[in-house]
Amino acid sequence: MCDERERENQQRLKMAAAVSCDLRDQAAVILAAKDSLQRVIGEYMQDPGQQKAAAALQYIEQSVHRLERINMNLQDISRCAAGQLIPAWQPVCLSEACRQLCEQAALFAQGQNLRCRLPKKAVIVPSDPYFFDRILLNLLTNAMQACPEGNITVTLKSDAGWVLVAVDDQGPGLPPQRLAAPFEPVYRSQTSCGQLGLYVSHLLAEQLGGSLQAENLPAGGARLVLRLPVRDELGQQAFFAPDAMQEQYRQKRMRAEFSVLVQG
Amino acid sequence: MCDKKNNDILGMGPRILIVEDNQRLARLERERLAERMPDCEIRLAFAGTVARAMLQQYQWDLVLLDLAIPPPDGMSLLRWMSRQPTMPPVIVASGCSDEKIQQQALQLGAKYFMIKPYHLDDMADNVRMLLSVRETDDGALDPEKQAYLQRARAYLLRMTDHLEAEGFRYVLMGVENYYDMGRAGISIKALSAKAGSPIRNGAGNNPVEAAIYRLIYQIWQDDSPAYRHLCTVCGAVPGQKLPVRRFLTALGEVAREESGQLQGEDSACATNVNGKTSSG
Repeated sequence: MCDERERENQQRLKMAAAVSCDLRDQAAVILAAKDSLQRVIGEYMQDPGQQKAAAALQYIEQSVHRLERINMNLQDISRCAAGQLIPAWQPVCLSEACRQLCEQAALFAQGQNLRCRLPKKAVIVPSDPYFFDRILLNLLTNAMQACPEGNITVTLKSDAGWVLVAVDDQGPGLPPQRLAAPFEPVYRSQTSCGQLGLYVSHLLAEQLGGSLQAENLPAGGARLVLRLPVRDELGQQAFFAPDAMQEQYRQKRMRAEFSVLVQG
Repeated sequence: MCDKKNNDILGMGPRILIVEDNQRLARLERERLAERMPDCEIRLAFAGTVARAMLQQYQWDLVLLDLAIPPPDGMSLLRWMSRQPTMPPVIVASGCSDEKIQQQALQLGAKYFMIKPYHLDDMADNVRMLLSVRETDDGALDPEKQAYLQRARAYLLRMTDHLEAEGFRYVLMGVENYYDMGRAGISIKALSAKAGSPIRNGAGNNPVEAAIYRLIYQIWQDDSPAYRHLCTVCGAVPGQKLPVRRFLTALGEVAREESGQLQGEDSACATNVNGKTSSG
């Protein structure tokens, strides 16, 4: 019985990986065609009459990044369902990761003001840098989508055996019907990207032995809190520096995550 | 691979084989490479069997290889190439983001792994960088120096990825103050600090990284020969913005010119950089 389930899982994973590859292949053609078109009409794009064409090319690129975002989320969901999304445990300096991700998110900010509040002492916990990146990027994207203008604050603090990462925004807050089940995927065309992202973050947080919680702030806006367990045995080791391959993939994730902020 | 290969039907310029089953993508890639490098001879193979026949028949300076192709698949083809007496530089271009697959490809000798979708210019920059490595095979440099340069260029590619991941889009020539340049720009001074930081922290303390750091440090001195050489390679003038990838590609070319000197100083660098990075 177990073997059969394992086989089914493997089958499902292979299918998801193949679909993901095919999607990326098609996305590659779209992006390459857009690059070629841009090259051809590039010198005319500054003309006022050609601005629509320039904007259309930009929409194509943004849409490719959005496809990539959906692709990554679906892959994570299928890996999680098959029990294959397992953290590669290693010491991760959350202070440094929060600071870097906030700095990178600020590059995509339009009317938002991003702030990062960190404790004086570096917080290092056993975690998975890929998982943590994905969770915090999703939370930041969600906050930046909900709050086109105003402050977004990331706060990192320790709390009795746990580390809390809170992302506060000054948007309208979560509607009551979503507060009941904030991380369930809701399939609506315009916002499904963000909600799928929160669902994935919730799954990843559980894999890290933690949880994700959502609440509305009394002064308005929403707060999403990631709770991660602290274990001391690895606490003093150095920050894991991602290698070039992970950096390349992270760069793609960044572009994909924040493509939803640039409204086409 | 056969030692004697028929190259008569191919031109004299660098020879590039694009192995890609998506014909539209392959043609767009060929078009952009031909624009950027008009002297290159570019051929397409849409299936593994055709690619293997072309690899057996002709000598190639670079192969751009998709993994998901009609059999034999890209990984099998890469494995086969790795068992031949000589192997051209290979850039794997794939939609697969599985880290194990990427590591496997690199272990089989691929120089670079590009995850689809990517911009054509980024692909062309990587091709150009690897071809400039290849040019050294033809001439003056001995194998040791070639190996050194390959490592240097691999490091520059990694550095490019890091900088782009951090949001930097361009390098500003000849300007010292990082804060003058907005969030997407980086000065050569700041670049030098970034290249030097792993060395100072001891994490990346190897001669190749140290030599690149030393080269960037030299370029930071506006009137140095290395700076002037880099400006010539890029066609840049002080104050100009250069895309990060283009700057680091040019840096690879400068490193090639100065490889004799750089390599000779490897050991000196390795001992100097820990404590006295500014002495370079």
